[in-house]
This record gives sequence, C-alpha cells and structure tokens, in this order.
Amino acid sequence: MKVLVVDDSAVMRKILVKALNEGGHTEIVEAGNGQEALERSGDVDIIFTDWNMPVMDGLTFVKEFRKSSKIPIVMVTTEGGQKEVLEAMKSGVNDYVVKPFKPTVVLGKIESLIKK
Amino acid sequence: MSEILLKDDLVQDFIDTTKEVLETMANAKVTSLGSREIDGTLKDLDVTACMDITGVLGFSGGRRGSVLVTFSAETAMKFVGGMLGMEFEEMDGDVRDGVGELVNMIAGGAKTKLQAKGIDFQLSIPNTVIGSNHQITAPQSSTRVCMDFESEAGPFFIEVYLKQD
Repeated sequence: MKVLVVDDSAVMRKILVKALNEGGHTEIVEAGNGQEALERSGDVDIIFTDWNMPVMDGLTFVKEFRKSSKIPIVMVTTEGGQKEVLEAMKSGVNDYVVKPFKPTVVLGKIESLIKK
Repeated sequence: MSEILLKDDLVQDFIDTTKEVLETMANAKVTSLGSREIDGTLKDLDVTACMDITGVLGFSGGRRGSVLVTFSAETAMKFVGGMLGMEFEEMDGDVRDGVGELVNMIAGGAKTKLQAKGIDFQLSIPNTVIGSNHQITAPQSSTRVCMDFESEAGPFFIEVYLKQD
C-alpha cells in the first residue's frame, strides 16, 4: 500500500513517516504543499494531509483531488474547531487527526479507512 | 466578552495546550511557572525574546496579534529530539523546523479551545528566528502576556501579543 504524506514541516513529515514505518508501511511519498501533492498523488492508496501550507493549502488540495479520485484522505492539522472539521469533511476529507497526536492514532486511521 | 476574561482564558488555554503538545509529541513533562502581564501601550523597541531560537506565528480576524515560543538551543534540541526519537548536537534545519511546528501546534490548540468560547481568529504559517540573545520587538499598541515554563529539557517561555484595536 502506498501512502502520500503532505505537510510543509519536514519534521512533521518525518514524525508521520516514522509512525507509518512502525506500522509496517514503507512505501511512502512525501509532498511539502498541496500543489506538490497533486503532482505526486497518481498511484497512492491513502493520503494524510496538513491544512495550513504555503503555495496550496490542504483544503484546496482536497477539493482539487476529489474531482478525480475517491481514495481515503485524512486531514492531520492543528485546526481542531468544529467549524473547521465540518468544512474539511464537506470538502471530501474522510477522517481527521488533530495535532498533537500519538503515532497509534495515525495507524488506526489506516486500519479503519482501508478495511471499510 | 471583556478584555480581562479574554486574557484569563487565553493564559490558561495556552498553558494547558503547551503541556499537551510537549507531553504528546516530545514525551516531555512541563511545569507552568505562572504568567506575567504588561497592560497598556508598549514602547517601540521593547525587547522581548532573549534566548537562542523563537517560533513566531501571527493571528488575525476576531483578535490580532502574535504568539512567540522561545527556547535556548539546548532546550530546543531536546524537545525536537524527543519529537523525532533522536539526539541533536546542533541547531540544524530539523530543529528550526521543529520549533516552528511546536509553535504551530501550541497556537492551534489554544485557538481551538478559545473558539469553543466564542473567540475566533485565523493563524498564519509559523516562522523561526535564530541567534544567540536575539531580540524581537513588540508591536506598538499591544498588550503582552508572558508565560514561563520549566521542564527536564530546560526553561522556556511563551509570549502572546494582543493588538489593541
């Protein structure tokens, strides 16, 4: 299974990649913003994306990506307000992780979304 | 909502969120040493941060201002090392990026708590300022709230500037 990790913070991408590796997921593609994510999302099976990023933010990326794909998307963000969660879900996000998070939370999202 | 209530809520929400972020992401226990508040108009060139690295993030909308989280190099390296499960000997790109991500999570978590109380604002993307004993000046017509913390990684502090509208 191929996972796309999108975050403008290299440290946050490393934290997510480490968590995914620990869960046995080693085929991982990284992107630093929504634009890069659109270019690198061709054959991935699940996406973890940040919201606030330069160039193209995560919400815009999700809206663009949803025009051509239905694969699971998990928003991983500091935007934890009810209004933001609803907006993300309406835009096509399947699940939501609010930072800070434990690595097991990320792996749990893969389990629940891929097994659905 | 009164200004006093806003500051009280703001301080507690920032303290709680800082503890949550560092405990969850860096496995670090953090103790609050309390807060200090400077009311009224600050003079331009009022010196604030005076350690090695500061993560800075602006907010706008219902309230305008900035959030600053300032560490010594040693403390920053220990916290970011805890986030990644590794040790740092110098403040490289990962330490700088990690400090930016810490201020992002602290301000974001506090924003979520304050939103639930009807205080809404938007956050900018974080930046970091580096330099031994660097100085950051407060914006004019601001109220400054300083929060001091102690941890096994060393002391650090958070400042929130609230622009007076």
